[in-house]
Amino acid sequence: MPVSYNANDPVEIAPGVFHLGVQDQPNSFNNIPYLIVDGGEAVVIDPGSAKTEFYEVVVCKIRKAVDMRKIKHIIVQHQDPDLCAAIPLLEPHCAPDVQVHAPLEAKVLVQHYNFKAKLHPLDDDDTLTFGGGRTLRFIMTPYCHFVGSMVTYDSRTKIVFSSDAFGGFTGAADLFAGPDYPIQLTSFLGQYLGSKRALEFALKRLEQLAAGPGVEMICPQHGCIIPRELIATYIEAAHNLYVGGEIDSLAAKHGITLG
Amino acid sequence: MNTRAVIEEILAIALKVTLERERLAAVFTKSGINLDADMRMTVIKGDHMAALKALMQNLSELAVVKISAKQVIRRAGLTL
Repeated sequence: MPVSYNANDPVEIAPGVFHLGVQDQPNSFNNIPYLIVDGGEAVVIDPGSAKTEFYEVVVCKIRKAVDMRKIKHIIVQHQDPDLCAAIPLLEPHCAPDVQVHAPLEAKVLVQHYNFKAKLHPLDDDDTLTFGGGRTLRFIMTPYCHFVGSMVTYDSRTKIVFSSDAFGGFTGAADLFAGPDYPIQLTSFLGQYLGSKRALEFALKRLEQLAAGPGVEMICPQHGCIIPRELIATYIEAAHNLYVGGEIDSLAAKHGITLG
Repeated sequence: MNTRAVIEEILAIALKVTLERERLAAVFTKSGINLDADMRMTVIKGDHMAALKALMQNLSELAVVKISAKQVIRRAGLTL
């Protein structure tokens, strides 16, 4: 497997799982959709931006991995435009009966991306079975960073698609977390997460998964993949994070005392 | 942590979160903070706190660096 990705080729990071990353060097905010292909069907997770220079890279990579008409499901793990805005652009190329799946609380927002496909609400521990019997399990991580946020677990490969959780700021096209990733991750999560309680809940759910069926990789929508041997280190770093600090900064600036 | 150390930490983290070194150097220079060719801090012109405030203003051009810098400032217990 290569150590970095490019603008042309999908990278198969596990059997049937493709990294479709788009490098965003000027903003250090790389955008990483994932494609899962199984038994003649395909699923796209967090399809990405509608911005032409992002969307075209994603479509080019999908086409190299699978016939786009095989895409039966599009999963979005929360409602942000950097992962949802591509839905209406992608939809006409997918299977005629393609369905979109989103967390229940995000569904009411996701509808506004104006696509035609049926939109299915997801709740905690819902599953989706597709292709040759591959099952994806949806694990809600409320308020991390939106009430309707979730991660997706592929029981075949034991990959957690973590969306913003475990993302990081980097302009480099590195596939895997390197020596700078602890700083890149904590700089991102430290500012974008508002609630320590929400973070702790999400981390404990992840620890349950790791202790139970196991986790081989964490695949975030920004930043780099965290392989199994580094997962404990990054969970520990996340446990130690100070989040929601922007409120404290602004409260101090404006002389507001919070309980 | 003194103000110079805060600026040094902001620079150290900036170099880990962005590859835009020319833009970064330009922002530091515009804020009265000189960097050498290896992106090490050399001279802060004038008052260090004024330079830090200018840096935070000018870092809006590099959003993720400013986001990271805000956290450094919080950890240092500073209010700008």
